[in-house]
Amino acid sequence: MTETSQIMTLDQMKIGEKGRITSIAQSDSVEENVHLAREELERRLLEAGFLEGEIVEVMHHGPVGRDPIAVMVNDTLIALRRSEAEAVEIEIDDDPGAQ
Amino acid sequence: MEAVNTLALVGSPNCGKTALFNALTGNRQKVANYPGVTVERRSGRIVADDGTVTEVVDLPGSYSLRGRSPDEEITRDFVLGRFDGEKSPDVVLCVLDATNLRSHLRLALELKRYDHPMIVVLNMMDLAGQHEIEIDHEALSRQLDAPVVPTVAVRKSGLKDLVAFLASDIAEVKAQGASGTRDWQPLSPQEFRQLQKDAKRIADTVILKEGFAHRMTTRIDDVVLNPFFGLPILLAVLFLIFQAVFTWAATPMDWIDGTIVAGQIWLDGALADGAIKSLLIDGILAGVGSVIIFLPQIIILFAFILALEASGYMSRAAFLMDKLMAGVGLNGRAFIPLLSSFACAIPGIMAARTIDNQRDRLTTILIAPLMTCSARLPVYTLIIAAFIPNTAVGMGIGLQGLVMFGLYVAGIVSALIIAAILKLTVTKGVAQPLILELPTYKVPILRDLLIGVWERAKIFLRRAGGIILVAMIILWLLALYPNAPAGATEPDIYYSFVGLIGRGLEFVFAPIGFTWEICIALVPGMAAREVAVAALGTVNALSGSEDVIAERLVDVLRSAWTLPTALSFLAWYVFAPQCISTLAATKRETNSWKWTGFMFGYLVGLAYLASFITYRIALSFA
Repeated sequence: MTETSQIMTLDQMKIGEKGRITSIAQSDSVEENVHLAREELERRLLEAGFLEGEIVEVMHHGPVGRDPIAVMVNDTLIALRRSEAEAVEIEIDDDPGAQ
Repeated sequence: MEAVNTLALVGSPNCGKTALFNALTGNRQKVANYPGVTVERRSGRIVADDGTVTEVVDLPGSYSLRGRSPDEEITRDFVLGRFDGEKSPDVVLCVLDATNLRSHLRLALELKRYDHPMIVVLNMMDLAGQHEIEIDHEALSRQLDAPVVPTVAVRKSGLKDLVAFLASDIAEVKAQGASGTRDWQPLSPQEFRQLQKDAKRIADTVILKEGFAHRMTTRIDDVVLNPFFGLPILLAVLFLIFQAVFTWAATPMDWIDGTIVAGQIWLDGALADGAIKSLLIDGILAGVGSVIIFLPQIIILFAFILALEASGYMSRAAFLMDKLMAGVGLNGRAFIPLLSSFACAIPGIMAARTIDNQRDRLTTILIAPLMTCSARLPVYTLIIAAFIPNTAVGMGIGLQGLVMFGLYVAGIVSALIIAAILKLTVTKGVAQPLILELPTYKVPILRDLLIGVWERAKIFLRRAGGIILVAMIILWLLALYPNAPAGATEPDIYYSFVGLIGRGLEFVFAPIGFTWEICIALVPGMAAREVAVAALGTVNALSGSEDVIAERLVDVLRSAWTLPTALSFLAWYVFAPQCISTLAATKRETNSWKWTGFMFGYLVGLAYLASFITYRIALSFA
């Protein structure tokens, strides 16, 4: 993690923004935020191709309440709701040259 | 001839597995059920030049062996030889999409853990070439320690290498590992992570050039998933489909009708009057014919649905609809089964299998009959023609069309309300997330569409030839006997068993304005909704072809029914479970008499309530 990077969750990213996954369904807040048991959510996100270190890019937003979102990860376009995207922590490099 | 080897086709959804299966086996396919479950077992045969037969089983698409839905469980249990009544496959054919190798490789590694004889098929090599993706398949073979065969499933010639490889090397592959029953334990998230990391490492070494598989897809998605235009485009697509279903189907439906009428006329002249003649003409031809007539609509609707699915747009529809469906506790995946239900609830109920959560699947099945299926149309058309004036309400919209539209909307809106109520009560559970792959767009393959449509058509015809045929014969018997007494003043059916039942029901249905004639028509209408039209004709002592009956019925009903009764009858048909086949499909899919009974009960209750309210309101205005 460099000094110029910022930490956020996947649902907070803007369209076209790229970031690196730092953790999946690990933070304590996950338990309260989502409907599934934490480990089940972790498995489903892993199955969809989310993995620590992978680059994600938000591609599209849904028409109602900008939910769900479509993100490119592991060379696949995955649709997921914001409530689940919240469980994916992202590190974004502020330095535009780094991407 | 007995198959020498059994191959199991395994792959993630959207890997082109079914196209490969169709290309490998052509028309030597068989669709059956796995023992004890309702999931379809699709198998086919390859006959080599020397006459050796290989059986190929197309397993449901799976992202992993975890078995999250009934479909995925089949895949896992079949591959691992854990399925009672099925022997373990000799060789697993793991199909990977060359344009999406990064996400598909993990499944190959997961299968590899079981040391089962395996051939890796690198499919869609033509698309990979077009997208300038380069894969070192020899390096992939070394990394996976399994033979890798590149294919292009859309062309038969694209399978030459695979067919040749199977012919020459299958014995050697079989010797590489052992088939048989294996234990299975779910992977821990950490084991799964390791698998994913290994897949990434291998992908990094074998993918020589990444290419641009998503470029075109992103451009299309920028339009069809646009926050402002996405939903209007989806609505336009749906409108186009329904327009096509009704206009394109009209001509072939006339042909079918003409053929049936010609058959009836021919039988009328060829046979002597009597019970057999009556059974053939009024029972079998009229009854089964009234169902088969919908075949063109079913074929057109399914052609569209299958094409949308194959192109990749259906997942986008689920994406666009998800938030709206979440409002009633369902997720976007329920959209496809519900859309199918507009043709017929039965394929819709079967399509609900793709929903991995049992409660969501049950909710979807329970509301599927509320979608206006094509069998309701003859009933709606008849009543609207008789009672709704053909006037314009402005802007070129007719009142009759508006009422028809209103009946569709009534079905959809009540389905959403019912879903919300069910999710708060009987199918209560944690809300299910949506995590859905949006595959790259592809041009649908005509052969796969034809095979898919033909399969649906066969299911539909089997229903017409099976349960509906039996029901029609029974009803014909009940409608014919006992005979009317001498000097009877009412039509013959009044004195028959059907008449007795109908008159018995009148007491129940009088509060919603139904006459004994309507009650009688409801009885045969239990077999299939559209049969009610023919039954109303019989009750009103009409005979002839269905068209003629419908035409004359308009006049008869106009004088016999009041407007409140007609409106009440329409309301009844929006909700009532007037279809034995739907109930049978529900029993099969839920494997529960309790839920089937629940569906029947709530639909009858709703129908009665809606009719009662409609009748009373209409009466107060009349």
